[in-house]
Amino acid sequence: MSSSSKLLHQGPVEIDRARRAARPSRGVRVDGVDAVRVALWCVVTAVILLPLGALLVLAFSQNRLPLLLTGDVAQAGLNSVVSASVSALFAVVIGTAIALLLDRSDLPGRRVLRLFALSPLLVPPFVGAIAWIGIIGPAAPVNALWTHWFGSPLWNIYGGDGVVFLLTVHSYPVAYIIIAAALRRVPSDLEQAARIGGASAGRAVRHITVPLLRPAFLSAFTLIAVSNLADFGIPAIIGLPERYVTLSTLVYRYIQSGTVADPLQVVATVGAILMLGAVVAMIVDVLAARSNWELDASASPTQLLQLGRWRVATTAITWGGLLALTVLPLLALVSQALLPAPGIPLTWQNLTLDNLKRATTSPSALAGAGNSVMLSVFAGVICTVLGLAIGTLVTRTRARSNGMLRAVAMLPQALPGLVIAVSWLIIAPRIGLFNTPWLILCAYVMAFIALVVQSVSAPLRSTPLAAEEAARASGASRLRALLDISWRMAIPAAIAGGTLVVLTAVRELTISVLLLAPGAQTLGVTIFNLQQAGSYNAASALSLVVTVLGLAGLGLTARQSRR
Amino acid sequence: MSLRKSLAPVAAFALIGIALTGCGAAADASTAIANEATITLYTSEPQEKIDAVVSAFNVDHPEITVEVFRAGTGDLTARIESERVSGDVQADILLAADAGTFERYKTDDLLLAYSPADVESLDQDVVDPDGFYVGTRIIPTVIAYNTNLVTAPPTSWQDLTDASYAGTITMPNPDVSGAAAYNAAVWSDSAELGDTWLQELAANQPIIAESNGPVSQAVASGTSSVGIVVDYLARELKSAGSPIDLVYPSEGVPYVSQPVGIFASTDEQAASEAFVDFLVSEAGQTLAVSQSYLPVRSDVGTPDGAPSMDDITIITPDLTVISEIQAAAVARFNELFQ
Amino acid sequence: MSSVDLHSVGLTYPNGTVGLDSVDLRIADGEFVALVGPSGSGKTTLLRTIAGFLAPTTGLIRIGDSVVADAVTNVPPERRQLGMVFQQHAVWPHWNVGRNIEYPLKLAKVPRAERQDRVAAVMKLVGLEGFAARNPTTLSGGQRQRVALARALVGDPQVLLLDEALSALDEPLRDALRLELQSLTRSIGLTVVHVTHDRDEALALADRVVVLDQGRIQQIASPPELVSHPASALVARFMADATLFEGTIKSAGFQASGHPCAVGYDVLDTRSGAGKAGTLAVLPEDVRLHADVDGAAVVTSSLFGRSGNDVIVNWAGVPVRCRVTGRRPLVGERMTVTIGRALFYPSGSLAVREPAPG
Repeated sequence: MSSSSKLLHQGPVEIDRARRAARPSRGVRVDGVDAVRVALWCVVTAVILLPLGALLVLAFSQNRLPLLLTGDVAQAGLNSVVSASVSALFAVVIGTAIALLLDRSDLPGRRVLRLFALSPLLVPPFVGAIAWIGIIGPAAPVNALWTHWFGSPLWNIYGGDGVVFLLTVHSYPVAYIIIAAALRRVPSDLEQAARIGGASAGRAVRHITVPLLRPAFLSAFTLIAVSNLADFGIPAIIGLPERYVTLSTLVYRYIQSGTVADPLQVVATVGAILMLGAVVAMIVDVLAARSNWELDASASPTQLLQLGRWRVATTAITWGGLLALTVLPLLALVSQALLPAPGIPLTWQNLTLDNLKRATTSPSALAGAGNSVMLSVFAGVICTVLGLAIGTLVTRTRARSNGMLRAVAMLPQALPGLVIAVSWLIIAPRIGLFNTPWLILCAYVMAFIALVVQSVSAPLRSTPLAAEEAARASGASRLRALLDISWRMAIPAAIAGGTLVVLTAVRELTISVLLLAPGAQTLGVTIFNLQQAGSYNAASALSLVVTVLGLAGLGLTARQSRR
Repeated sequence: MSLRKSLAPVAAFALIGIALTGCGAAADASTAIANEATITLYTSEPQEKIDAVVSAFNVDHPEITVEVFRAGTGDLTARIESERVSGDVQADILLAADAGTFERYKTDDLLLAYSPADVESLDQDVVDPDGFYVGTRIIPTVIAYNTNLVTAPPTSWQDLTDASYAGTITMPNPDVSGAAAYNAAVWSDSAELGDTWLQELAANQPIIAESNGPVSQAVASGTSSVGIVVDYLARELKSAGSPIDLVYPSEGVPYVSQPVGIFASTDEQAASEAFVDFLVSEAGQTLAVSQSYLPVRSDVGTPDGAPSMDDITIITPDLTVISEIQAAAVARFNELFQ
Repeated sequence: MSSVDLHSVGLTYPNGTVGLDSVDLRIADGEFVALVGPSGSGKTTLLRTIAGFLAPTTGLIRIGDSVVADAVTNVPPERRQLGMVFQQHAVWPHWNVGRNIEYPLKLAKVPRAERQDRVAAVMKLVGLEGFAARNPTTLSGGQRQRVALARALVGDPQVLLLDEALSALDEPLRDALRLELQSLTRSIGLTVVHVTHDRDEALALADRVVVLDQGRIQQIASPPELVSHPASALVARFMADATLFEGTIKSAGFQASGHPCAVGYDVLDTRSGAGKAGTLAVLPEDVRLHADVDGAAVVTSSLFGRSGNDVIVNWAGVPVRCRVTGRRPLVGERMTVTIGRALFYPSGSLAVREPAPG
């Protein structure tokens, strides 16, 4: 206790500890919370730090930087950055427009439209890519008709513009969710004060609401840009046919075709650089969150934006656009799934259920679906428990290591899936998980734990610490108070986060395509393989099944939440 | 207090250590029961086709379980690469790619020497003289065309350099497709075609698709009128009803042989040898023919709609030469076409 | 400054809920009117209808000489030239204080030089000199509300609307701002419509108080009139915490039904004849208590107040609110209740009594 006088100056927690240590009875007493903290550090070390460490060690064991500066890598890096940031920008713009229209205006049918607007979220990006090829690919009906009428195709989805388009389609719902949440937090009387001051409805939105959403724009942008940087399915299916190579497809190609010597090491180096970028993005996000305004709860009821004479036009455009984004891909999948082979005209007598039958009964598809469901549910459960523990600990206790623990848990979210997969590929043989599905599970846990930590932290942070203090005053130990109060309070959020993990993992492609093992082929890989092997009709059939299930899930969730 | 904090990471590593040891022990504990065996097969065969092969094999050898790991050739080679970096190759058998890949593994001492039973009845062109691998199918690259768009199909590689085919040809990317890389080497090595032909073909600005599958799709769907593609894909689409047909060019067709080889690190040598035997046996080759493949033996016929083996001119270059020039040929191809 | 005229204004929400029911109200130029009522009474709806955020379904609203809302038109809020202060101040957090206050002038395209002068003047008026460059998040609640007030005043509004403008503030500050608000608005002769749930605030500030319930005006009166002569039993209870007894007027006076309460004609302030059933309202200050061990009422709570103790006695099952001076009764003490004055409202007469102006 020689240091106790120093400890006394370090704030209430330290005093608390010093006092405990000063108890005469049992020497050093390890309290339950400390034990939990040590256990959690062990887990994140094993699941996150170890593989990343292996990646860094491999990356820096030899200098591969000169290779990275060659034309191919530089071009792919440029393509990645451009496609990710342009699509993130579009996604934020579209997400904002949809949030304003669906949450703040008097557009008819807002509730139904909200479901339509969110639907691309439930369709895996690579399935979306397959579907959109069926709409506006070079041989698809739109271009066929256009060529018939005007002599040349309207637009070829293959290539960089198509990649940006599809990335945007699949990421604007995320932007919408983030921005709509921020929008709800903007008190409506701020806008009304502007109206009274002489601003028209549109001006009030432009001058007051939109500037207040800026932090949400930034965090939506970084989140989407990083995740689009990591996307594999869309650039692989849409970009590669036109030689539009992004970092993720290049890295995949390096591993796949061995066009460079020692591909794992090269990929590890690319991964290390992407990691740096991810860390920078994380810092930007943290800074943006810090500069956020504290907004009061609104006292006035929300005033819906009157669209007035624009109402008809806006309604038509919004309904048309969102229906096109949802229904057209579905129709394209249906038509491709029902035709036996490419080049056969779409007529009633040519339609066949063979593809669908095969898609739903073939052993590989069934095994893929089974694996995906099993892996995603396990990942969901593990992430829920770990995320709940980590999220509760870092938001509800005070310790210097909390910030670090949280940062470590959040880091993988900012990492391209490819990097995570390669890290696990590197250490797999050492930990005896090689050639087992559990490797994919580990990578899923690493990749998605942040989802739960995030969803747990948000509501907990807004609850005053007095909740636990009351429990401790009632006689609960630190751990007990944490378990009985914070943990319990956070369970619904953790389950919501865990559900998100399941939904994300079940349609995952990038990680499972690289960590593929005998008996561990996921649904995403099954579809991707069919597509790559040129079995477009079979790929569409399986995609159709996945999409319909996803949309049914959305419908069910929506019905549940309405109750 | 600071002691307790610094203990945390130590404890973490200790725990991981224990976990790793446990896993290692579990892996060693698997013991083989006599006669019964499990072998792992890495293959690039389409899933449905390899499923049929395995079930046919199991009719004769029910005691051997074949765990199939199916992936693209590139995936497989990358996987083997990463396994070599971090330990042993996990597969017993590789059934994929072109002879060049196997030549490389042979040089790296990864393969076990084994000549299958009945090796003398096989097409000797696909048998490794050193006995490390043997081809299992003849997969030629041919010209496929859309029957709705093309009335007078090209009959030779030379025909494709005609200006009328400008912008209408699709072919696979040699960076991705093992067969395409091999073809590039064979074409540039050919006295008849060579670099001149490649330059003339490049002048027609062919579309470079990712792999053979998409090429066949592009031709069948009419996106492209002509494609340079492996024959069995075009044949399959034709029988499914697509408006596609194929021509074996008169100068001869380059082919890959989808060789099979056993990894030196295998624990199940006997079972692996039995599987290799089956692949090139009469039964195995009859099955291959029923799956639209051209066989490596002459006693099993050819697939429906395919010409007999004797009617096809096959280009059979010196494999060592091809292995040597392949990288340069691919680079030249990329320079000309991309 | 302008007057505000509401002529049988009604507002029914799309779901059928009645927000306002034929409201007639004339607010004179320079008058300070407070709208009070229980929550859901329509006071905020009425304010927001005047502001233009809600469109009346029937009736007509005139501000100054121009009709801003009737059956066909509804002038949007930004073109009504109003000033408004919200409960949560609604100061825009992304702009500094000066920019917040300047915004209405900018929208009105006032030249820059004039803008600066006017902003400076209004900031001086509300006591925020030197705050122009401050970030609103660094201000206290009272200061933010001053910014909101300055922003509402800077454009010389026709009418100043206050929507629970002081309610979010803590007590001593609220009191101080209340005083300031009155001297400020009176000195420049502003027409003010002030919505509040704080009855004392309404009484303290307003020239006239409008009591609303269920979307209808229950009474419009000056504060003294409202306190001494509530127009209905409901108003009496809401404004003055009157205790209500149901009963009938008999020959001797009022007799409550099922309760010992009876009052003679001498203390009864009735405007109609005998034999009628109705409600008796007894204001707290009109109740007298005498300590009496045999008394029928028991003290259940007794709170000290500056102007008298606030006592509730349980009189035969009815809690009766009394304001008594002198000794503070003890909880549990028995009391005899005497009623010094009572107001009788015959049932069925809901007529709103509008006092003669003046």
